[in-house]
Amino acid sequence: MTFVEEYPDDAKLIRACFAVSFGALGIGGLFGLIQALHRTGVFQGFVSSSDYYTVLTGHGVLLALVFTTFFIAGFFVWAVTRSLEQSIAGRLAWTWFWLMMVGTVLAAVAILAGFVPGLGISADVLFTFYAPMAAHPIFYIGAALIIVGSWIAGANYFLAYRRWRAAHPDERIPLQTFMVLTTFLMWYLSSAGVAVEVVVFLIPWSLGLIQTVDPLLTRTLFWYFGHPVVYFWLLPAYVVWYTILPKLSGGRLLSDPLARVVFVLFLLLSTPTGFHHQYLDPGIAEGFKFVAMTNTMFLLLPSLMTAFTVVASMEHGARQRGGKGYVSWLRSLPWDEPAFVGIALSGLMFAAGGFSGMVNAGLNLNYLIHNTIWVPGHFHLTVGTAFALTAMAVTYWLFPQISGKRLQLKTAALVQPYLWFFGMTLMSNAMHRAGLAGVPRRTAEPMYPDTPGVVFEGVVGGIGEMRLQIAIGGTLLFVSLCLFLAVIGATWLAPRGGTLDVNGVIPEPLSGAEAAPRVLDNLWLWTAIAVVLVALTYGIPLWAWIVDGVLTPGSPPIPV
Amino acid sequence: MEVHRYERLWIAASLLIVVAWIGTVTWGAVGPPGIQMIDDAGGTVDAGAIADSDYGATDTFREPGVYQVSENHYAVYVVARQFEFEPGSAAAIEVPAGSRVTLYVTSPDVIHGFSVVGTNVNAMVIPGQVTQMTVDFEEPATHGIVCNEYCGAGHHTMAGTIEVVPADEFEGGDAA
Amino acid sequence: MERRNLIRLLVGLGIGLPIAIEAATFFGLFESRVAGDDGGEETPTRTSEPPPPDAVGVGDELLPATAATDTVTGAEIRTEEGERVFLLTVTVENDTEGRYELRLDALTTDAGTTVSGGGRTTQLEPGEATTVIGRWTLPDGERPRAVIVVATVTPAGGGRETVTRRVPIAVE
Repeated sequence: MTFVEEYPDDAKLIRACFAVSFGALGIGGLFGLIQALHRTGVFQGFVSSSDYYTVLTGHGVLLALVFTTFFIAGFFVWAVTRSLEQSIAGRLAWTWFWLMMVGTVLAAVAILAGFVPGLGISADVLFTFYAPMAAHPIFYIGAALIIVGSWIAGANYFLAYRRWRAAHPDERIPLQTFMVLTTFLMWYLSSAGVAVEVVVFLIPWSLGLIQTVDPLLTRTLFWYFGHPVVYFWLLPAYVVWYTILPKLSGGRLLSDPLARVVFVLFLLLSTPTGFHHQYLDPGIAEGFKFVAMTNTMFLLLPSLMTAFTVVASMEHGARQRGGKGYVSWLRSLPWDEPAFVGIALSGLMFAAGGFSGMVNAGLNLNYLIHNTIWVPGHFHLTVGTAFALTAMAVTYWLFPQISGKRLQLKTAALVQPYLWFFGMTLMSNAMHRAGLAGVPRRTAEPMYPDTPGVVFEGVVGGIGEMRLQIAIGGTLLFVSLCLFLAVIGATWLAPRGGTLDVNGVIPEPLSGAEAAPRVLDNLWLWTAIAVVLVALTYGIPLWAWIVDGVLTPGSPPIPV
Repeated sequence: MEVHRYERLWIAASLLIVVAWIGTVTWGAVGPPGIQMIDDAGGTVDAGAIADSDYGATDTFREPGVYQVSENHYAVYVVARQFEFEPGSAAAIEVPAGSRVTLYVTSPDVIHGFSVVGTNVNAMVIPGQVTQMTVDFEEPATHGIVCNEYCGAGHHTMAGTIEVVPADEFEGGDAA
Repeated sequence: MERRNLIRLLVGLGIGLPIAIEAATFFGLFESRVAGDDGGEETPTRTSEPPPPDAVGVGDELLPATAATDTVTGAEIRTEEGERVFLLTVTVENDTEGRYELRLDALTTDAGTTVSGGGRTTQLEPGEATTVIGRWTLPDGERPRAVIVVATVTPAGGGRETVTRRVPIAVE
């Protein structure tokens, strides 16, 4: 029985989540194209340079907050329902869906109203919305509702687990549910920071209920959340790489226990790292930055472990399909299946992104690339590919199962991930090189023709060539995105019925849950340790700033 | 829990890489290269006083300009605001070659960036905080300063210049 | 196209080309490190002109940096329907051999506020002339200080160049 037949209510909820997610992806992606053409000077006719920042805010919020959160929430409904073998969609589920939806609409209205002069509503504050730049209050209220909605989604998963546990007192937590729960424990711990920033400070401040906020404190609260949020995006991709990719490769996951270890490590280490986004900030002593650096470097470990498991599981699958030799087994993988291709290529690209991330984390190295376009070059490899391409690719496999429709436009679906990988290589490669030359990020016009001394010297290649490469790469990405939306749109509109040509069965891992030490399932223990690590990293600086006056040194809102 | 031999080797190698990486970064920060990190040495300041140009009201900042502290040491006070550096944009910051310069930068309005293009002089400027950093300017050169943190609709026009002039051409800053 | 060949093409271009691009970049970095040189081309963004010191008023050239002639013929504040509006009138004459386009973008007031608005010309063929009126609604009590001006020049020989300036404005 397919998922949609066995759990129709959950399937409907997942489809709703995906609809919002992909809608946001489409608009956000269009904005990305506009940016790529505008800042490279190729075509500046869509918007003025001051409206560019409205586009940039829309791109960041729609992609990094709406596309991601809705996809993850829906995907996790599938993962929990499937692994616990019980329906979890009900009143609570639709509550969190609609709460997130209302939040999205409010935030989107605030941002898009920035295009309409005379309305007096705008939110040109970018995805990071640093004070003292101030957006209209409904922007912050919308963002808060999305976060709170996601908390309720987590409650939905935990309550389902509790029901299951009552009926299965001695069993190990099924792997996918284990991954969902640890991801959400990390999410609760980390999103607390931005929730405090927005609800305690920014909303009252933008409404005029308090006069000033401390920009350093609010910025720190953002980055307390801003680093672990990337793991909120990465871990669902890891769920796919660990539990679905081996099957698509033709084999099985090598080790369930090691997968659990990796997720526990992320729960422990994701949050006490945020200062590495603030290496260049005044007001923060060097010691705190140093500790954040070492914590961040240790986060390389679970990802390197994942690399081993993922590649080994793929090799195992390839050999099941008849692959031989030290390297030629790669040819026996299903390179003609869109879901496999997208997920495998996103894993490969993530390796590159992980290493450029280590440069970012490298304290003094960071000075060379902070706020240059190297940084977007890095995160388009990670959230922009490891998350986004995995999400698109797994949807090719999952959507038929949650809708009962056969996948349409299969050739387009096959071309799409290859095109994404190629386009992203072009764009990100040029962004990294331009960043090394000092070209800034987040700017509508990165040339400063009338300022003596502003000269960007490329180490490999010239600036003009890099700009062109970014424009071409960005355009190819947009074409790839259109292919994805066309495939899913056509599939959605296709008639139901007939047999699906997708196999939804996930075989058991080679080394199963029974081999995992019981302590790994002790979620209370790992949460407690995570909290202690956060207190050690953030306790002293936050306490110092609270004690010297939580609203001082303070700044009033400056509308943008 | 059974861990395959290759995987144990891999995890050991990974830990080694991580520790080695931490080592090289530490060496760069604390060891001989001694790249000084931006920290809280600059102290705090009232952004409102900076906005009102009331420089007498604070002891962590003074009127924007170049001041000579000692023989080869200069202090440069810069205000970064929407959308210019003062000094820097309308008039270039002038310092002599072969000098050590401590920059103090703050903002009266929103968060800005202060980045000397092509160098590792790169810092955030946060209202309420004074960013302090020390740079050695050895050779005569013209350096561009770019604001690399989005600060509003005119952000892409916010830039300035540091002129490092030959020591004998330098006409001096105000006394400290 | 036959399925097998399609796969070969996709893998070859989609994976092979990116690997080639990254390898080329890596060797480029290696080479420049080993050779010890400054690396690739320098972008000619340096200028020997001093930053613009004087405000531009009526009768002045708005953008001396471009070959085309942009003359300010009006810079006034008017009250329209209870709103204070700044109108900047520029007569643009494309006396070059390429195409020319002028856009008046955001305005900064003396209080530091940024106001969006402005105006733009169509793309002017060589010999064409037009007038553009930039329009910004001013906050109470504030006066215009500078306008961001963007000119797009498409020379006859090909290529395209954008000239952006923040021009201080003298109001009548």
